[in-house]
Amino acid sequence: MQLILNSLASAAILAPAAIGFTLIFMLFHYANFAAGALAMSGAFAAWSANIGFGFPIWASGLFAMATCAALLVLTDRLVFGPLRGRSGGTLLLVAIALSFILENIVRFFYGSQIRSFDLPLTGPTVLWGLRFTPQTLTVIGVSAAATLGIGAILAFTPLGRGLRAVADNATLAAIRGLPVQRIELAAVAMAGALFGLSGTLVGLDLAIEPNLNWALAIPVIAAAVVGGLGSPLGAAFGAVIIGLAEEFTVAFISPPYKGAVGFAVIALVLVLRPQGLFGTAVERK
Amino acid sequence: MTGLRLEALCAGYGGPDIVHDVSLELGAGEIVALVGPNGAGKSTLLKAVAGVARITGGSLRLGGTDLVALGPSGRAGAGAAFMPQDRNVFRTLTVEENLAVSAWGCPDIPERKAEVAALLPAITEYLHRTAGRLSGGQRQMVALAMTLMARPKVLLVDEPTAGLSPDLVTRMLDVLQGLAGDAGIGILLVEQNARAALQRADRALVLVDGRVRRSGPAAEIAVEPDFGAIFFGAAA
Repeated sequence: MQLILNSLASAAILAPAAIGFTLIFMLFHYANFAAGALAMSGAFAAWSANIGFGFPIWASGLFAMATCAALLVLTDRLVFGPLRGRSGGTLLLVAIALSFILENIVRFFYGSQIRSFDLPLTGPTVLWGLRFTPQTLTVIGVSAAATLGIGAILAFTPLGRGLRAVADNATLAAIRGLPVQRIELAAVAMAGALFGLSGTLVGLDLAIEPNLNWALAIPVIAAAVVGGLGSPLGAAFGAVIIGLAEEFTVAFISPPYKGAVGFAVIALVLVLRPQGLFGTAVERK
Repeated sequence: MTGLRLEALCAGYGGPDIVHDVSLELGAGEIVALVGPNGAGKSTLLKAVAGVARITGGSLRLGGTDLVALGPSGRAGAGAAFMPQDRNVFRTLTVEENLAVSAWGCPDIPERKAEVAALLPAITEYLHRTAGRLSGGQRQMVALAMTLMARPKVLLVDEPTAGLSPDLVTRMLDVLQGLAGDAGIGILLVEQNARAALQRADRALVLVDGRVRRSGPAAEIAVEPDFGAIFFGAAA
């Protein structure tokens, strides 16, 4: 059971970013490899608000979400917007370059040392044999609420329906009178906010450092691939699978191999079920 | 003239023009059929009016609105609703969601759905199904219903019966005729079954190589001796 709880905590960190990653993929059909760098930037934004400005942690999280939303909108306008229509491979390389740039900007301003939020020191609580901290429960609760919230927005609101329509067929959406660019902008901001949330959650559960970029990028992408690219619900479910795989690797194989889990799962999914668990098979034309 | 007005319209996709100097007027409740052989530029003309193909010359107005400066979304908002031949529904959305997004920003979506259901009662049978799982005929009806959600002044309908069985072809064309007659919507119709289209249209334009070869009352064009030859590109 402890393993399951730890897995849920790992999944809770990955899920918002994986949903953000899949939202971008749904709309623009490229893999934004800078997902890890954006979440890492969110962690530093939250740390700045918490330590630098003295914000409480919840307000720091909102600040990180707003910062990452603005950052992703900015990079979309400056970097990815002019490259719309280019191949997925080109955009993947650009996203990798962007992740290096973001990581080095953070290193320039913050250095490479490990940081953490200003939180009251509390020991773990033991209940029914399970050891957990208040932060663990917060991470799981906030992530679950965010996942359900995004699911509700996509399923039940005009913006969500419009976003799915644009993702399905942007030309038809324009013909039907939908404001395609405004919907895309809202989706990019939403995805950015989710990266910022993952950054805040990782800061609550682990430590904040520039290396989070690479520590998060592969598991986040793996979660989205497992769930089926283009399926936000699948991305959340994929995060749970990656969380379980990582924690079982730590428990039964060796902690250093945890970083390889994402690669292994991506390879396995691409061989066995390329469309992922919740994705739809697409015929190559 | 409160309807659609094209004057010397030229259009294409960025290369050489495909449509040259086409002029026409479409009034409320009127059906104008665009007929001609394959590759004549009929669909391109519709797409140019809808904002999907590029207008390179001439003017395009709907009522008092100049459409040339507007994108596809703006033209839809101005009242020109385009029903493409294929990929004309959001396949991953339910029929009900397809209808709702087609009235984007309108506060009275339930009322509009009721209006559309009254005009096309068949769609109420599959409102909750995913559009990608519908049959060809059902999908065309949903696509038409989506255009009606915007309460358009004119409908630009591209090959609405493509791939449908003969009885569905008749039903679809009857529905379009009903929309023009009952709802007063002007319809610019491109239809592969030219004779069936001419039977229901008030006027027709014959396009050959992107130019208007002949225009006039549909009934007259339908009985012209060289009508068949036009479709093989042999008419002079």
